[in-house]
Amino acid sequence: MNSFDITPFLPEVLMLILACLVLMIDLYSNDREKQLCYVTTQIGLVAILVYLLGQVNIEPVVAYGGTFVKDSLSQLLKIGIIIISGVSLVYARVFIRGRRFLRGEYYSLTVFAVLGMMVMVSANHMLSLYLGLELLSLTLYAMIAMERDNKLGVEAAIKYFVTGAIASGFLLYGISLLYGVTGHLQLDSMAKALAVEGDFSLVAKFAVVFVVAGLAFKLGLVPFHMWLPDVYQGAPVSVTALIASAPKIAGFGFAIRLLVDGLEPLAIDWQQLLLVAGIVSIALGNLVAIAQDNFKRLLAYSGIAHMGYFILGFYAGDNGGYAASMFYVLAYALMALAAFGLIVFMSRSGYEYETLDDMRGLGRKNPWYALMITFVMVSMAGLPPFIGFWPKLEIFRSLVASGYWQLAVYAIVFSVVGLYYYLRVIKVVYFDAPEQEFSFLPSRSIRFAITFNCISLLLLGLIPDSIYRYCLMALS
Amino acid sequence: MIGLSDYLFVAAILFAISVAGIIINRKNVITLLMCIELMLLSVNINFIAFSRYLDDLQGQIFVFFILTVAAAEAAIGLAILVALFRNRSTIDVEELNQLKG
Repeated sequence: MNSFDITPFLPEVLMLILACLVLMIDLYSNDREKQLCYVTTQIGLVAILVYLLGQVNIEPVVAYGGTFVKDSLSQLLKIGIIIISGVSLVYARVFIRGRRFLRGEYYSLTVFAVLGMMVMVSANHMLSLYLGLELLSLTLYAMIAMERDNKLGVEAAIKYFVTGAIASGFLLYGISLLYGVTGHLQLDSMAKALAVEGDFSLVAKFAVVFVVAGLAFKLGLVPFHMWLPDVYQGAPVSVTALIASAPKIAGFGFAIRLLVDGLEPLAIDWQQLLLVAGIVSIALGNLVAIAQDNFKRLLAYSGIAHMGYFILGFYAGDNGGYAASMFYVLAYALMALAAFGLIVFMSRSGYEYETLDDMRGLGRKNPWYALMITFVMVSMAGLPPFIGFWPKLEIFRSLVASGYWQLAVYAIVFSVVGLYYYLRVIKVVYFDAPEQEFSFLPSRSIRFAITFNCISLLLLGLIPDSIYRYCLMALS
Repeated sequence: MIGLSDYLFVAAILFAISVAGIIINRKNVITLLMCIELMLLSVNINFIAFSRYLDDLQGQIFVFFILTVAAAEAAIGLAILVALFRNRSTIDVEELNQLKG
Protein backbone atom coordinates (compact mmCIF):
# COMPACT_ATOMS: atom_id res chain seq x y z
CA MET A 1 0.00 0.00 0.00
CA ASN A 2 2.98 2.33 -0.30
CA SER A 3 2.46 3.64 -3.81
CA PHE A 4 -0.69 4.53 -5.64
CA ASP A 5 -0.52 3.61 -9.30
CA ILE A 6 -2.83 5.73 -11.38
CA THR A 7 -2.06 4.21 -14.80
CA PRO A 8 -4.89 1.63 -14.99
CA PHE A 9 -7.39 4.38 -14.28
CA LEU A 10 -5.70 7.05 -16.39
CA PRO A 11 -8.22 7.24 -19.28
CA GLU A 12 -11.06 7.72 -16.80
CA VAL A 13 -9.16 10.35 -14.85
CA LEU A 14 -8.38 12.21 -18.06
CA MET A 15 -12.03 11.97 -19.07
CA LEU A 16 -13.10 13.47 -15.74
CA ILE A 17 -10.57 16.28 -16.11
CA LEU A 18 -11.82 16.88 -19.64
CA ALA A 19 -15.44 17.14 -18.46
CA CYS A 20 -14.52 19.65 -15.75
CA LEU A 21 -12.30 21.57 -18.16
CA VAL A 22 -15.14 21.89 -20.65
CA LEU A 23 -17.38 23.20 -17.86
CA MET A 24 -14.75 25.80 -16.92
CA ILE A 25 -14.28 26.91 -20.51
CA ASP A 26 -18.03 27.18 -20.84
CA LEU A 27 -18.13 29.45 -17.82
CA TYR A 28 -15.53 31.89 -19.10
CA SER A 29 -16.34 31.80 -22.80
CA ASN A 30 -18.42 34.60 -24.24
CA ASP A 31 -18.95 32.86 -27.55
CA ARG A 32 -22.61 31.90 -27.98
CA GLU A 33 -21.74 28.82 -30.00
CA LYS A 34 -19.15 27.64 -27.47
CA GLN A 35 -16.82 26.58 -30.28
CA LEU A 36 -13.94 26.30 -27.86
CA CYS A 37 -15.85 23.79 -25.68
CA TYR A 38 -16.58 21.68 -28.71
CA VAL A 39 -13.02 21.75 -29.96
CA THR A 40 -11.64 20.93 -26.53
CA THR A 41 -14.07 18.03 -26.14
CA GLN A 42 -13.18 16.53 -29.49
CA ILE A 43 -9.43 16.96 -29.00
CA GLY A 44 -9.70 15.39 -25.56
CA LEU A 45 -11.73 12.44 -26.82
CA VAL A 46 -9.29 11.85 -29.68
CA ALA A 47 -6.31 12.04 -27.32
CA ILE A 48 -7.83 9.49 -24.92
CA LEU A 49 -8.80 7.33 -27.88
CA VAL A 50 -5.22 7.33 -29.15
CA TYR A 51 -4.00 6.43 -25.67
CA LEU A 52 -6.44 3.49 -25.54
CA LEU A 53 -5.60 2.32 -29.06
CA GLY A 54 -2.00 1.95 -27.96
CA GLN A 55 -2.88 -0.72 -25.40
CA VAL A 56 -5.57 -2.94 -26.80
CA ASN A 57 -3.76 -6.18 -26.29
CA ILE A 58 -2.87 -6.25 -22.60
CA GLU A 59 -2.79 -8.61 -19.68
CA PRO A 60 -5.74 -8.11 -17.32
CA VAL A 61 -4.94 -5.80 -14.41
CA VAL A 62 -7.17 -5.73 -11.34
CA ALA A 63 -6.64 -2.57 -9.34
CA TYR A 64 -7.92 -0.40 -6.49
CA GLY A 65 -8.98 -3.05 -4.03
CA GLY A 66 -10.54 -5.18 -6.74
CA THR A 67 -13.03 -2.56 -7.84
CA PHE A 68 -11.55 -1.98 -11.25
CA VAL A 69 -10.31 -4.22 -14.03
CA LYS A 70 -8.44 -3.27 -17.16
CA ASP A 71 -8.33 -5.93 -19.86
CA SER A 72 -8.63 -6.21 -23.62
CA LEU A 73 -12.41 -6.37 -23.38
CA SER A 74 -12.71 -3.11 -21.46
CA GLN A 75 -10.21 -1.39 -23.76
CA LEU A 76 -12.06 -2.44 -26.92
CA LEU A 77 -15.44 -1.42 -25.55
CA LYS A 78 -14.06 1.93 -24.42
CA ILE A 79 -12.64 2.54 -27.88
CA GLY A 80 -16.04 1.81 -29.40
CA ILE A 81 -17.81 4.05 -26.88
CA ILE A 82 -15.48 6.99 -27.46
CA ILE A 83 -15.63 6.79 -31.25
CA ILE A 84 -19.42 6.58 -31.28
CA SER A 85 -19.85 9.41 -28.77
CA GLY A 86 -17.38 11.60 -30.62
CA VAL A 87 -19.25 11.17 -33.91
CA SER A 88 -22.56 11.82 -32.14
CA LEU A 89 -21.10 15.14 -30.98
CA VAL A 90 -20.29 16.07 -34.58
CA TYR A 91 -23.98 15.58 -35.33
CA ALA A 92 -25.04 17.35 -32.17
CA ARG A 93 -23.00 20.53 -32.72
CA VAL A 94 -24.92 21.51 -35.82
CA PHE A 95 -28.23 20.34 -34.41
CA ILE A 96 -28.08 22.37 -31.22
CA ARG A 97 -26.89 25.48 -33.08
CA GLY A 98 -30.42 26.20 -34.29
CA ARG A 99 -32.12 25.39 -31.00
CA ARG A 100 -32.29 26.62 -27.45
CA PHE A 101 -29.71 24.42 -25.79
CA LEU A 102 -27.09 25.15 -23.21
CA ARG A 103 -24.24 24.33 -25.54
CA GLY A 104 -21.29 24.08 -23.21
CA GLU A 105 -23.20 21.84 -20.82
CA TYR A 106 -24.21 19.58 -23.66
CA TYR A 107 -20.59 18.76 -24.44
CA SER A 108 -19.64 18.40 -20.83
CA LEU A 109 -22.61 16.12 -20.07
CA THR A 110 -21.68 13.92 -23.02
CA VAL A 111 -18.19 13.57 -21.60
CA PHE A 112 -19.65 12.65 -18.21
CA ALA A 113 -21.83 10.03 -19.89
CA VAL A 114 -18.77 8.61 -21.62
CA LEU A 115 -17.00 8.50 -18.28
CA GLY A 116 -19.92 6.58 -16.77
CA MET A 117 -19.86 4.08 -19.61
CA MET A 118 -16.10 3.63 -19.26
CA VAL A 119 -16.44 2.91 -15.55
CA MET A 120 -19.22 0.43 -16.29
CA VAL A 121 -17.24 -1.64 -18.75
CA SER A 122 -14.21 -1.69 -16.45
CA ALA A 123 -16.10 -2.55 -13.28
CA ASN A 124 -15.07 -5.51 -11.20
CA HIS A 125 -17.19 -4.65 -8.18
CA MET A 126 -20.90 -4.07 -7.75
CA LEU A 127 -20.21 -0.57 -6.50
CA SER A 128 -18.27 0.59 -9.56
CA LEU A 129 -20.83 -1.10 -11.79
CA TYR A 130 -23.67 0.75 -10.08
CA LEU A 131 -21.92 4.11 -9.97
CA GLY A 132 -20.97 3.91 -13.65
CA LEU A 133 -24.53 3.03 -14.55
CA GLU A 134 -25.96 5.90 -12.52
CA LEU A 135 -23.49 8.42 -13.89
CA LEU A 136 -24.58 7.42 -17.38
CA SER A 137 -28.30 7.42 -16.59
CA LEU A 138 -28.35 10.70 -14.69
CA THR A 139 -26.56 12.56 -17.48
CA LEU A 140 -28.89 11.07 -20.07
CA TYR A 141 -31.99 12.15 -18.09
CA ALA A 142 -30.66 15.67 -18.02
CA MET A 143 -29.70 15.69 -21.70
CA ILE A 144 -33.15 14.56 -22.83
CA ALA A 145 -34.77 17.43 -20.94
CA MET A 146 -32.17 19.95 -22.06
CA GLU A 147 -34.32 21.65 -24.64
CA ARG A 148 -36.53 23.10 -21.96
CA ASP A 149 -39.40 24.40 -24.05
CA ASN A 150 -39.72 21.16 -25.99
CA LYS A 151 -42.83 19.53 -24.51
CA LEU A 152 -42.12 16.12 -25.96
CA GLY A 153 -38.54 16.18 -24.76
CA VAL A 154 -39.55 16.89 -21.18
CA GLU A 155 -42.22 14.19 -21.26
CA ALA A 156 -39.68 11.73 -22.64
CA ALA A 157 -37.27 12.74 -19.89
CA ILE A 158 -39.73 12.09 -17.08
CA LYS A 159 -40.71 8.74 -18.57
CA TYR A 160 -37.09 7.72 -18.95
CA PHE A 161 -36.33 8.97 -15.46
CA VAL A 162 -39.09 6.98 -13.78
CA THR A 163 -38.39 3.73 -15.63
CA GLY A 164 -34.65 4.15 -15.23
CA ALA A 165 -35.02 4.71 -11.50
CA ILE A 166 -37.23 1.62 -11.16
CA ALA A 167 -34.60 -0.35 -13.06
CA SER A 168 -31.90 0.86 -10.68
CA GLY A 169 -34.11 -0.07 -7.74
CA PHE A 170 -34.64 -3.61 -9.05
CA LEU A 171 -30.97 -4.00 -9.79
CA LEU A 172 -29.98 -2.80 -6.33
CA TYR A 173 -32.47 -5.07 -4.61
CA GLY A 174 -31.00 -8.00 -6.51
CA ILE A 175 -27.47 -6.91 -5.64
CA SER A 176 -28.35 -6.56 -1.96
CA LEU A 177 -29.70 -10.12 -1.88
CA LEU A 178 -26.63 -11.42 -3.69
CA TYR A 179 -24.48 -9.61 -1.16
CA GLY A 180 -26.38 -11.25 1.65
CA VAL A 181 -26.09 -14.68 0.08
CA THR A 182 -22.41 -14.57 -0.77
CA GLY A 183 -20.98 -11.95 1.56
CA HIS A 184 -19.08 -10.39 -1.32
CA LEU A 185 -19.57 -7.43 -3.61
CA GLN A 186 -16.52 -7.99 -5.75
CA LEU A 187 -17.62 -9.85 -8.84
CA ASP A 188 -15.00 -12.58 -9.03
CA SER A 189 -15.22 -13.42 -5.32
CA MET A 190 -18.99 -13.49 -5.69
CA ALA A 191 -18.67 -16.04 -8.50
CA LYS A 192 -16.34 -18.14 -6.35
CA ALA A 193 -18.75 -18.06 -3.42
CA LEU A 194 -21.68 -18.97 -5.64
CA ALA A 195 -19.79 -21.86 -7.20
CA VAL A 196 -19.63 -23.53 -3.78
CA GLU A 197 -23.21 -24.68 -3.81
CA GLY A 198 -24.93 -24.00 -0.52
CA ASP A 199 -28.48 -24.05 0.75
CA PHE A 200 -28.91 -20.46 -0.41
CA SER A 201 -29.52 -21.26 -4.06
CA LEU A 202 -33.20 -20.31 -3.91
CA VAL A 203 -32.47 -16.80 -2.63
CA ALA A 204 -29.72 -16.45 -5.23
CA LYS A 205 -32.16 -17.40 -7.98
CA PHE A 206 -34.63 -14.87 -6.62
CA ALA A 207 -31.90 -12.23 -6.72
CA VAL A 208 -30.99 -13.14 -10.29
CA VAL A 209 -34.55 -12.39 -11.37
CA PHE A 210 -34.25 -8.84 -10.01
CA VAL A 211 -30.83 -8.28 -11.49
CA VAL A 212 -31.89 -9.51 -14.92
CA ALA A 213 -35.04 -7.37 -14.76
CA GLY A 214 -32.90 -4.30 -14.05
CA LEU A 215 -30.59 -5.18 -16.92
CA ALA A 216 -33.51 -5.78 -19.29
CA PHE A 217 -34.94 -2.36 -18.36
CA LYS A 218 -31.68 -0.69 -19.23
CA LEU A 219 -31.24 -2.56 -22.51
CA GLY A 220 -34.89 -2.15 -23.47
CA LEU A 221 -35.83 -5.82 -23.67
CA VAL A 222 -39.48 -6.89 -23.63
CA PRO A 223 -41.35 -6.79 -21.19
CA PHE A 224 -39.37 -3.77 -19.94
CA HIS A 225 -39.27 -1.91 -23.24
CA MET A 226 -42.16 0.57 -22.79
CA TRP A 227 -39.95 3.60 -22.32
CA LEU A 228 -37.83 3.08 -25.39
CA PRO A 229 -40.08 4.25 -28.28
CA ASP A 230 -41.29 7.26 -26.30
CA VAL A 231 -37.79 8.31 -25.37
CA TYR A 232 -36.43 7.85 -28.89
CA GLN A 233 -39.26 9.89 -30.31
CA GLY A 234 -39.43 12.62 -27.70
CA ALA A 235 -35.77 13.31 -27.03
CA PRO A 236 -33.91 15.82 -29.21
CA VAL A 237 -32.59 13.73 -32.11
CA SER A 238 -28.96 14.38 -31.40
CA VAL A 239 -29.49 13.02 -27.88
CA THR A 240 -31.36 10.03 -29.29
CA ALA A 241 -28.37 9.36 -31.54
CA LEU A 242 -26.29 9.09 -28.40
CA ILE A 243 -28.80 7.07 -26.33
CA ALA A 244 -29.42 4.57 -29.10
CA SER A 245 -25.78 3.83 -29.73
CA ALA A 246 -22.99 4.08 -27.15
CA PRO A 247 -24.98 3.04 -24.03
CA LYS A 248 -25.83 -0.24 -25.76
CA ILE A 249 -22.10 -1.01 -25.93
CA ALA A 250 -21.82 -0.14 -22.26
CA GLY A 251 -24.87 -2.35 -21.64
CA PHE A 252 -23.00 -5.25 -23.20
CA GLY A 253 -20.03 -4.58 -20.93
CA PHE A 254 -22.41 -4.38 -17.98
CA ALA A 255 -24.04 -7.71 -18.87
CA ILE A 256 -20.69 -9.44 -19.36
CA ARG A 257 -19.28 -8.17 -16.08
CA LEU A 258 -22.39 -8.83 -14.05
CA LEU A 259 -23.68 -12.07 -15.52
CA VAL A 260 -20.57 -13.78 -16.82
CA ASP A 261 -17.90 -12.54 -14.42
CA GLY A 262 -20.13 -12.32 -11.36
CA LEU A 263 -22.97 -14.81 -11.75
CA GLU A 264 -21.41 -17.50 -13.93
CA PRO A 265 -22.43 -20.32 -11.54
CA LEU A 266 -26.05 -19.27 -11.93
CA ALA A 267 -25.81 -19.23 -15.72
CA ILE A 268 -28.68 -21.69 -16.17
CA ASP A 269 -31.05 -19.35 -14.35
CA TRP A 270 -30.19 -16.09 -16.10
CA GLN A 271 -29.95 -17.76 -19.48
CA GLN A 272 -33.56 -18.92 -19.21
CA LEU A 273 -34.69 -15.39 -18.34
CA LEU A 274 -32.68 -13.81 -21.13
CA LEU A 275 -33.93 -16.42 -23.58
CA VAL A 276 -37.57 -15.55 -22.90
CA ALA A 277 -36.83 -11.82 -23.05
CA GLY A 278 -34.89 -12.27 -26.27
CA ILE A 279 -37.53 -14.35 -28.02
CA VAL A 280 -40.35 -11.98 -27.11
CA SER A 281 -38.27 -8.91 -27.99
CA ILE A 282 -37.50 -10.23 -31.46
CA ALA A 283 -41.15 -10.97 -32.16
CA LEU A 284 -42.65 -7.82 -30.67
CA GLY A 285 -39.98 -5.46 -31.98
CA ASN A 286 -40.23 -6.69 -35.54
CA LEU A 287 -44.02 -6.95 -35.62
CA VAL A 288 -44.81 -3.60 -34.02
CA ALA A 289 -42.22 -1.82 -36.17
CA ILE A 290 -44.29 -2.77 -39.22
CA ALA A 291 -47.16 -0.61 -37.97
CA GLN A 292 -45.08 2.51 -37.35
CA ASP A 293 -45.34 5.64 -39.47
CA ASN A 294 -42.90 7.63 -37.42
CA PHE A 295 -39.35 6.90 -38.48
CA LYS A 296 -37.96 7.35 -34.97
CA ARG A 297 -40.47 4.94 -33.45
CA LEU A 298 -39.74 2.49 -36.23
CA LEU A 299 -36.07 2.65 -35.35
CA ALA A 300 -36.95 2.24 -31.66
CA TYR A 301 -38.90 -0.96 -32.25
CA SER A 302 -36.22 -2.21 -34.59
CA GLY A 303 -33.80 -1.45 -31.76
CA ILE A 304 -35.85 -3.64 -29.41
CA ALA A 305 -35.66 -6.47 -31.95
CA HIS A 306 -31.92 -5.93 -32.35
CA MET A 307 -31.44 -6.16 -28.60
CA GLY A 308 -33.36 -9.44 -28.73
CA TYR A 309 -30.94 -10.90 -31.29
CA PHE A 310 -28.03 -9.51 -29.34
CA ILE A 311 -29.09 -11.17 -26.09
CA LEU A 312 -29.46 -14.58 -27.78
CA GLY A 313 -25.66 -14.65 -28.01
CA PHE A 314 -25.65 -14.90 -24.21
CA TYR A 315 -27.90 -17.92 -24.41
CA ALA A 316 -25.30 -19.84 -26.38
CA GLY A 317 -23.25 -19.45 -23.23
CA ASP A 318 -19.71 -19.77 -24.53
CA ASN A 319 -17.01 -17.37 -25.63
CA GLY A 320 -18.09 -17.68 -29.26
CA GLY A 321 -21.60 -16.58 -28.32
CA TYR A 322 -20.40 -13.67 -26.17
CA ALA A 323 -18.03 -12.58 -28.93
CA ALA A 324 -20.91 -12.71 -31.41
CA SER A 325 -22.96 -10.54 -29.05
CA MET A 326 -20.12 -8.08 -28.71
CA PHE A 327 -19.71 -7.90 -32.48
CA TYR A 328 -23.46 -7.43 -32.77
CA VAL A 329 -23.65 -4.58 -30.31
CA LEU A 330 -20.69 -2.76 -31.85
CA ALA A 331 -22.24 -3.05 -35.31
CA TYR A 332 -25.67 -2.04 -34.01
CA ALA A 333 -24.27 1.03 -32.27
CA LEU A 334 -22.69 2.16 -35.54
CA MET A 335 -25.92 1.56 -37.49
CA ALA A 336 -28.14 3.31 -34.95
CA LEU A 337 -25.75 6.25 -34.90
CA ALA A 338 -25.94 6.49 -38.69
CA ALA A 339 -29.74 6.22 -38.72
CA PHE A 340 -30.31 8.94 -36.13
CA GLY A 341 -27.49 10.97 -37.62
CA LEU A 342 -29.45 11.03 -40.86
CA ILE A 343 -32.53 12.30 -39.00
CA VAL A 344 -30.38 15.01 -37.42
CA PHE A 345 -29.08 15.88 -40.85
CA MET A 346 -32.57 16.11 -42.33
CA SER A 347 -33.78 18.51 -39.67
CA ARG A 348 -34.02 22.24 -39.61
CA SER A 349 -34.82 24.66 -36.87
CA GLY A 350 -38.17 23.76 -35.37
CA TYR A 351 -38.92 20.92 -37.76
CA GLU A 352 -37.73 17.40 -38.31
CA TYR A 353 -38.40 14.95 -41.07
CA GLU A 354 -39.52 12.31 -38.66
CA THR A 355 -42.44 10.55 -40.31
CA LEU A 356 -42.04 8.27 -43.27
CA ASP A 357 -44.25 10.57 -45.35
CA ASP A 358 -41.73 13.36 -44.89
CA MET A 359 -39.10 11.29 -46.62
CA ARG A 360 -41.11 10.70 -49.78
CA GLY A 361 -39.20 11.24 -52.96
CA LEU A 362 -35.86 11.90 -51.33
CA GLY A 363 -34.32 9.63 -53.93
CA ARG A 364 -35.24 12.01 -56.74
CA LYS A 365 -34.33 15.20 -54.99
CA ASN A 366 -31.16 14.07 -53.37
CA PRO A 367 -29.88 10.71 -54.60
CA TRP A 368 -26.69 10.66 -52.54
CA TYR A 369 -28.35 10.90 -49.10
CA ALA A 370 -31.11 8.56 -50.25
CA LEU A 371 -28.35 6.09 -50.97
CA MET A 372 -26.99 6.65 -47.46
CA ILE A 373 -30.43 5.87 -45.96
CA THR A 374 -30.52 2.76 -48.11
CA PHE A 375 -27.15 1.68 -46.76
CA VAL A 376 -28.34 2.04 -43.17
CA MET A 377 -31.66 0.25 -43.77
CA VAL A 378 -30.10 -2.61 -45.69
CA SER A 379 -27.44 -2.99 -43.05
CA MET A 380 -30.01 -3.02 -40.24
CA ALA A 381 -32.06 -5.59 -42.14
CA GLY A 382 -28.94 -7.73 -42.17
CA LEU A 383 -28.14 -8.19 -45.82
CA PRO A 384 -24.60 -8.93 -46.92
CA PRO A 385 -22.10 -7.41 -47.51
CA PHE A 386 -23.06 -4.75 -44.96
CA ILE A 387 -21.85 -4.86 -41.37
CA GLY A 388 -25.30 -5.74 -40.02
CA PHE A 389 -25.20 -9.14 -41.66
CA TRP A 390 -22.08 -10.67 -40.12
CA PRO A 391 -22.83 -10.42 -36.40
CA LYS A 392 -26.30 -11.86 -37.03
CA LEU A 393 -24.64 -14.73 -38.84
CA GLU A 394 -22.24 -15.24 -35.94
CA ILE A 395 -25.13 -15.26 -33.45
CA PHE A 396 -27.00 -17.86 -35.50
CA ARG A 397 -23.83 -19.89 -35.92
CA SER A 398 -23.11 -19.89 -32.20
CA LEU A 399 -26.72 -20.93 -31.49
CA VAL A 400 -26.50 -23.80 -33.95
CA ALA A 401 -23.11 -24.81 -32.58
CA SER A 402 -24.62 -25.02 -29.08
CA GLY A 403 -27.45 -27.17 -30.44
CA TYR A 404 -30.25 -24.59 -30.42
CA TRP A 405 -31.04 -24.74 -34.11
CA GLN A 406 -34.78 -24.17 -33.54
CA LEU A 407 -33.90 -20.82 -32.00
CA ALA A 408 -31.73 -19.93 -34.97
CA VAL A 409 -34.58 -20.76 -37.36
CA TYR A 410 -36.97 -18.65 -35.31
CA ALA A 411 -34.57 -15.70 -35.37
CA ILE A 412 -34.06 -16.02 -39.12
CA VAL A 413 -37.81 -16.08 -39.75
CA PHE A 414 -38.22 -12.83 -37.84
CA SER A 415 -35.26 -11.32 -39.70
CA VAL A 416 -37.26 -11.85 -42.84
CA VAL A 417 -40.27 -10.16 -41.22
CA GLY A 418 -37.95 -7.30 -40.30
CA LEU A 419 -36.85 -6.99 -43.90
CA TYR A 420 -40.36 -5.79 -44.76
CA TYR A 421 -40.29 -2.54 -42.83
CA TYR A 422 -36.70 -1.71 -43.67
CA LEU A 423 -37.47 -2.12 -47.36
CA ARG A 424 -40.64 -0.06 -46.92
CA VAL A 425 -38.46 2.89 -45.94
CA ILE A 426 -36.40 2.39 -49.10
CA LYS A 427 -39.59 2.17 -51.14
CA VAL A 428 -40.89 5.44 -49.69
CA VAL A 429 -37.59 7.15 -50.36
CA TYR A 430 -37.27 6.04 -53.98
CA PHE A 431 -40.67 5.29 -55.41
CA ASP A 432 -43.07 7.79 -53.86
CA ALA A 433 -43.61 11.19 -55.39
CA PRO A 434 -41.92 14.06 -53.57
CA GLU A 435 -44.22 16.47 -51.74
CA GLN A 436 -41.79 19.11 -50.67
CA GLU A 437 -38.34 20.54 -51.06
CA PHE A 438 -35.69 19.06 -48.80
CA SER A 439 -33.42 21.32 -46.85
CA PHE A 440 -30.51 19.87 -44.98
CA LEU A 441 -28.34 21.28 -42.29
CA PRO A 442 -25.80 23.51 -43.99
CA SER A 443 -22.63 22.16 -42.52
CA ARG A 444 -19.72 20.48 -44.16
CA SER A 445 -18.66 18.59 -41.03
CA ILE A 446 -22.01 16.82 -40.66
CA ARG A 447 -22.13 15.91 -44.35
CA PHE A 448 -18.70 14.44 -44.07
CA ALA A 449 -19.54 12.60 -40.84
CA ILE A 450 -22.78 11.15 -42.23
CA THR A 451 -21.09 9.96 -45.39
CA PHE A 452 -18.19 8.52 -43.45
CA ASN A 453 -20.53 6.79 -40.99
CA CYS A 454 -22.72 5.22 -43.68
CA ILE A 455 -19.85 4.19 -45.94
CA SER A 456 -18.15 2.60 -42.93
CA LEU A 457 -21.16 0.24 -42.66
CA LEU A 458 -20.19 -1.08 -46.07
CA LEU A 459 -16.43 -1.01 -45.65
CA LEU A 460 -16.42 -2.70 -42.25
CA GLY A 461 -18.79 -5.29 -43.72
CA LEU A 462 -16.00 -6.27 -46.08
CA ILE A 463 -13.60 -7.10 -43.25
CA PRO A 464 -15.83 -8.83 -40.67
CA ASP A 465 -13.24 -11.46 -39.78
CA SER A 466 -10.74 -9.06 -38.29
CA ILE A 467 -13.40 -7.42 -36.08
CA TYR A 468 -14.75 -10.76 -34.93
CA ARG A 469 -11.23 -11.93 -34.17
CA TYR A 470 -10.73 -8.91 -31.92
CA CYS A 471 -14.00 -9.73 -30.13
CA LEU A 472 -12.93 -13.33 -29.62
CA MET A 473 -9.55 -12.21 -28.34
CA ALA A 474 -11.16 -9.84 -25.87
CA LEU A 475 -13.33 -12.57 -24.39
CA SER A 476 -10.90 -15.47 -24.28
CA MET B 1 -34.80 -10.48 19.65
CA ILE B 2 -35.01 -8.98 16.18
CA GLY B 3 -33.30 -11.27 13.70
CA LEU B 4 -32.03 -10.86 10.18
CA SER B 5 -35.23 -12.19 8.64
CA ASP B 6 -37.29 -9.47 10.32
CA TYR B 7 -35.21 -6.75 8.68
CA LEU B 8 -35.41 -8.48 5.34
CA PHE B 9 -39.15 -8.81 5.75
CA VAL B 10 -39.58 -5.10 6.43
CA ALA B 11 -37.36 -4.25 3.46
CA ALA B 12 -39.35 -6.57 1.19
CA ILE B 13 -42.63 -5.02 2.33
CA LEU B 14 -41.31 -1.50 1.72
CA PHE B 15 -40.02 -2.54 -1.69
CA ALA B 16 -43.40 -4.03 -2.58
CA ILE B 17 -45.20 -0.90 -1.37
CA SER B 18 -42.99 1.27 -3.54
CA VAL B 19 -43.51 -0.88 -6.64
CA ALA B 20 -47.25 -0.95 -6.03
CA GLY B 21 -47.21 2.81 -5.53
CA ILE B 22 -45.53 3.36 -8.89
CA ILE B 23 -47.95 1.06 -10.67
CA ILE B 24 -51.18 2.15 -8.97
CA ASN B 25 -50.49 5.88 -8.78
CA ARG B 26 -52.15 7.63 -11.72
CA LYS B 27 -52.30 11.11 -10.31
CA ASN B 28 -49.09 12.78 -9.37
CA VAL B 29 -45.50 12.62 -10.55
CA ILE B 30 -44.20 13.72 -7.13
CA THR B 31 -45.69 10.56 -5.63
CA LEU B 32 -43.70 8.60 -8.18
CA LEU B 33 -40.51 10.29 -7.01
CA MET B 34 -41.38 9.43 -3.41
CA CYS B 35 -41.96 5.79 -4.35
CA ILE B 36 -38.58 5.67 -6.10
CA GLU B 37 -36.95 7.08 -2.98
CA LEU B 38 -38.73 4.49 -0.82
CA MET B 39 -37.49 1.75 -3.13
CA LEU B 40 -33.87 2.81 -2.69
CA LEU B 41 -34.29 3.11 1.07
CA SER B 42 -35.72 -0.39 1.35
CA VAL B 43 -32.63 -1.63 -0.48
CA ASN B 44 -30.54 0.24 2.08
CA ILE B 45 -32.24 -1.61 4.93
CA ASN B 46 -31.33 -4.85 3.19
CA PHE B 47 -27.72 -3.83 2.82
CA ILE B 48 -27.38 -2.68 6.42
CA ALA B 49 -29.03 -5.82 7.78
CA PHE B 50 -26.77 -8.09 5.75
CA SER B 51 -23.74 -6.02 6.58
CA ARG B 52 -24.40 -6.40 10.30
CA TYR B 53 -25.22 -10.08 9.93
CA LEU B 54 -22.10 -10.85 7.90
CA ASP B 55 -19.98 -8.53 10.03
CA ASP B 56 -18.66 -6.93 6.85
CA LEU B 57 -18.34 -3.19 6.24
CA GLN B 58 -18.76 -3.21 2.46
CA GLY B 59 -22.54 -3.20 2.65
CA GLN B 60 -22.63 -0.08 4.80
CA ILE B 61 -20.26 1.73 2.45
CA PHE B 62 -22.51 0.76 -0.44
CA VAL B 63 -25.40 2.39 1.45
CA PHE B 64 -23.53 5.70 1.59
CA PHE B 65 -23.13 5.62 -2.15
CA ILE B 66 -26.78 4.71 -2.71
CA LEU B 67 -27.84 7.63 -0.51
CA THR B 68 -25.62 10.01 -2.46
CA VAL B 69 -26.85 8.79 -5.81
CA ALA B 70 -30.45 8.94 -4.57
CA ALA B 71 -29.93 12.59 -3.65
CA ALA B 72 -28.55 13.36 -7.11
CA GLU B 73 -31.37 11.42 -8.68
CA ALA B 74 -33.99 13.34 -6.69
CA ALA B 75 -32.39 16.61 -7.74
CA ILE B 76 -32.53 15.72 -11.41
CA GLY B 77 -36.02 14.29 -11.09
CA LEU B 78 -37.34 17.45 -9.48
CA ALA B 79 -35.57 19.59 -12.08
CA ILE B 80 -37.28 17.66 -14.87
CA LEU B 81 -40.53 18.01 -12.96
CA VAL B 82 -40.14 21.80 -12.85
CA ALA B 83 -39.49 21.86 -16.60
CA LEU B 84 -42.56 19.69 -17.10
CA PHE B 85 -44.73 21.97 -15.02
CA ARG B 86 -43.55 25.08 -16.86
CA ASN B 87 -44.43 23.48 -20.17
CA ARG B 88 -47.74 21.91 -19.30
CA SER B 89 -48.96 23.56 -16.09
CA THR B 90 -49.76 20.10 -14.76
CA ILE B 91 -47.90 17.19 -13.24
CA ASP B 92 -50.71 14.72 -13.69
CA VAL B 93 -49.40 11.32 -14.76
CA GLU B 94 -52.39 10.65 -16.99
CA GLU B 95 -51.71 13.76 -19.04
CA LEU B 96 -48.27 12.52 -20.00
CA ASN B 97 -49.75 11.03 -23.14
CA GLN B 98 -48.42 12.99 -26.08
CA LEU B 99 -45.91 10.32 -26.93
CA LYS B 100 -47.62 7.13 -27.99
CA GLY B 101 -48.03 4.75 -30.88
